[in-house]
Amino acid sequence: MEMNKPILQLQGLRTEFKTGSGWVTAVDDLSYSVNPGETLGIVGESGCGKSVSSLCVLRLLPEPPGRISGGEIWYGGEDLTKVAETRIRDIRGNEIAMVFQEPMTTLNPLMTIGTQLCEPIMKHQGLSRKDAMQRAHELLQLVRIPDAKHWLKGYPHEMSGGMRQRVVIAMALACSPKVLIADEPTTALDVTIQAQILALLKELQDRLGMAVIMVTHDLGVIAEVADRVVVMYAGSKVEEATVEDLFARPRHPYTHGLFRAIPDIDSITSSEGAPTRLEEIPGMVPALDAMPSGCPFSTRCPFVIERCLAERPILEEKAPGHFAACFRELS
Amino acid sequence: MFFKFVIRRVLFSIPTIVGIVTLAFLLGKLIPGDPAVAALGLDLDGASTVSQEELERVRTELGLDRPVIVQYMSWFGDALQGDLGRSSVNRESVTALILRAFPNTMFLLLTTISTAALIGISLGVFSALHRGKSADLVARLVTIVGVSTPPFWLALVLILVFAFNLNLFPMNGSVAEHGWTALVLPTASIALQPAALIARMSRSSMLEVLSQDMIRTAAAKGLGRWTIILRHGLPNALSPVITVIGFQFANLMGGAVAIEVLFGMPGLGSLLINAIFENDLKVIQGVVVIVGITFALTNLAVDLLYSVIDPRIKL
Ligand SMILES: Nc1ncnc2c1ncn2[C@@H]1O[C@H](COP(=O)(O)OP(=O)(O)OP(=O)(O)O)[C@@H](O)[C@H]1O
Ligand code: SF4
Ligand SMILES: [Mg+2]
Repeated sequence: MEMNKPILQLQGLRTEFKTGSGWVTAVDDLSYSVNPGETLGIVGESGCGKSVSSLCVLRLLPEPPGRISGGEIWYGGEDLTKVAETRIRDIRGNEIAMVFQEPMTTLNPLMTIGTQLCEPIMKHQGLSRKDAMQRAHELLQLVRIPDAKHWLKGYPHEMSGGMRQRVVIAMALACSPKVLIADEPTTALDVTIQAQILALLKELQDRLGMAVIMVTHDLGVIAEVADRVVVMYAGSKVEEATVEDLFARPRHPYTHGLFRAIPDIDSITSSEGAPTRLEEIPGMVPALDAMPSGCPFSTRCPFVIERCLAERPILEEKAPGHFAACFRELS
Repeated sequence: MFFKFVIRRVLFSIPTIVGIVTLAFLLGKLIPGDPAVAALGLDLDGASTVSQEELERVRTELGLDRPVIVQYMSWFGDALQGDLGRSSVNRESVTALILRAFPNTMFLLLTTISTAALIGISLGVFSALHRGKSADLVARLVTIVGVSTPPFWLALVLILVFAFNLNLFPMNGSVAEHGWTALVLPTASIALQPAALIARMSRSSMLEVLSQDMIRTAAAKGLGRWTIILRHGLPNALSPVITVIGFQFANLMGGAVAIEVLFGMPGLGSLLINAIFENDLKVIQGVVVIVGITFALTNLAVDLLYSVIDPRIKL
C-alpha cells in the first residue's frame, strides 16, 4: 500500500444527540485522514467530541440517542457510514480495532482473559478454539504480560489497571488491524505505566505497520507519539498541523491556551504522579445547545474581535500543511 | 476449592437449621391448649370427656412431665435422627407423612419457578432490547398486570375457563392421577406473579449491563448482536435476577399451600391445612421444620449459583 494514500478518511462528519431540547450537534463537519503507518493525534478538552467521532468510525455510537447525520467515512473504497451491518462487523476488531479509555470496565468480568482474546480471532480468522488460544498466548507475550500461560485462565479482576490495558491492546491487535483507534488509552493509568503503554504501542505500530489514531486531552501524549495533530474544540476541528509545526507555532488561540494549560516539569515531578493542570483556559465550553453563532471559541478567546461574534471562521491553510480556523494571525 | 466453599456454606447454614428446629419446638409450647388432649385427637371441648388418669398416662408417654429443657433436648435429638414424632390422628410417623408430601410440593414449586424464570428472563431481555419502543411498552404492561393479579383469583378464573368451560385440564387432582396436565393450571396460577417480577428485574439489570463499556468492547471485536447479548450481556445481568428468583421461590411455598388445597393436590400444603384442622401438633411442627430447612437450602443454592456465575465472588 502506498504510504501517502490515506487508509481512513473522514469527510464532513456530523453527529447529533437527541436531548430534551431536541437534536444537538456533538461533532460538526469533522474531516481528517490518516495514512498507513502514521499516527494521527486528536486532542481537545473533555466533551469536544473526540470519543464520539472515533466511535462513529466503527459505527459504535449508541443509537439512540446518537446518530450520524452527515458526512462520509472512507475506508478503502467503502463509506463506513453506509456499508451493511455484516460488513462493518467484519471490519470491527479485524481491519480497524479500538482501544478504550477505561481498562477497569472494558473487559468482561465473568470471562477468562484467554476466552476474551480468542473471540475476535475465532470470529475473524476462523481458527479453532485451541489454535486461537495459542495465538492469544502469543498476543499476551507480545504485550509483555509476564507468565502469559497462567493469565490465559485468569480473570480481569485479578489484574492491575496497567495489565488490563495491555490485555485490551492485545485484543485490539489480535487480527493485525490496519487502523488502531486508541481513545485515551493511558488516561486512567498512573504516569509510569502510561509511559510504558505508550512505548509499547509505538513499538507495536512500527512492527505491524498500522495507522494509529491517538485520541487524548494530553499534549504530552501527543508530543510523545503523534506525527500529525488535529485539535478539536466543541465538536469541530480548529487546527491541524504536523506535530513539529504545532508545537513550534500554534496558530489557533485555543491551541495556544492548551499549551499554556500544560503543567511545567516541576509541578509534574513534585506532585506524586498525577499531573496538575496549572492554567486552565478560563471559561467553559459552551453547551451543545447553546453554541455562539460566530466562532465557537469566541466566548473564551482572549483575541476576540467584532467579526468573530458574527461570522464563523472556516479552516484556512495558514502555512504549508498548517490549518487553523481563526480570523486572526497569531504571532 | 469450590468443594471447600460448599462445605463452608453448608456449615454456615447449621445455625439456621438449629434455629428452625428450636422454633418448631417453641411453637409446640406456645400453642394454646393441652398437648396431651391434642395428642388424644380431641379438641378443647373434648378434654372433659377423658379421665384424669388417661391424660396423665399420655403426658408421661409424651414426656410432658419432664422439665422443658429435657423435652427440648429430646425433641432435638429425635429430630436430628429424622424422628419428628407421630401424628395424633392416625399414629403415622410424621417423617413418613412429610416424605410422601414433600416431593409433590417440590415438583410443583420447581416446575413453577423454572417456568417463571424462563418466561420472566425472556420477557425482560426482550423488553430491554426494545427499550422505549411499543414492544417494550406492551411487555411492561403485561408485567404490571402480572404483578398485580392475585394468584388465588387467577386460579379460580383458570379453573373456570380451562377446566370447567373448555375442559382442557383436570379441575383438580394429583399428577399421579392425571399426569402432567394436573400441573398446568396450578403452575400457571402461581407462576405469573414471580414471572412478572423476574421480568422487571431482568429488564432493568439488562439495560444497565447493555450500557456498560464491556458491551461496547464486545461490539468493537466484531461479534454478532446475539453473541453480545447472550454471552456478554445476559450473564452479567443475572446476579440480581437470581436474587429475585431465590426470593420468589421462598415466597412460592406460601402460595403453594393455598393452591394445593384448591386443586386438591397432595403435598405439604394439604398436609399442613389438614393438620391444622385436626389439631395435629406434631405434623404442624414437622411441616415448619421441613419448610424452614428448604428456605435455608434455597439460600445456600442461590449463594452457590452466584459463585458459579461470578469469579469475583471470593470462595
Ligand atoms: N450518550 C450521549 N447522550 C447525549 N450526549 C452525549 C452522549 N455521548 C456523548 N454526548 C455528548 O457529546 C459530546 C462529545 O462527547 P465525547 O465523549 O466525544 O467527548 P470527549 O472529547 O471524548 O471527552 P472526554 O475527554 O471526556 O472523553 C459531549 O458534549 C457529550 O455531552
Ligand atoms: S476567530 Fe476570533 S474568537 Fe475565534 S479563535 Fe480566532 S480570534 Fe478567537
Ligand atoms: Mg472521550
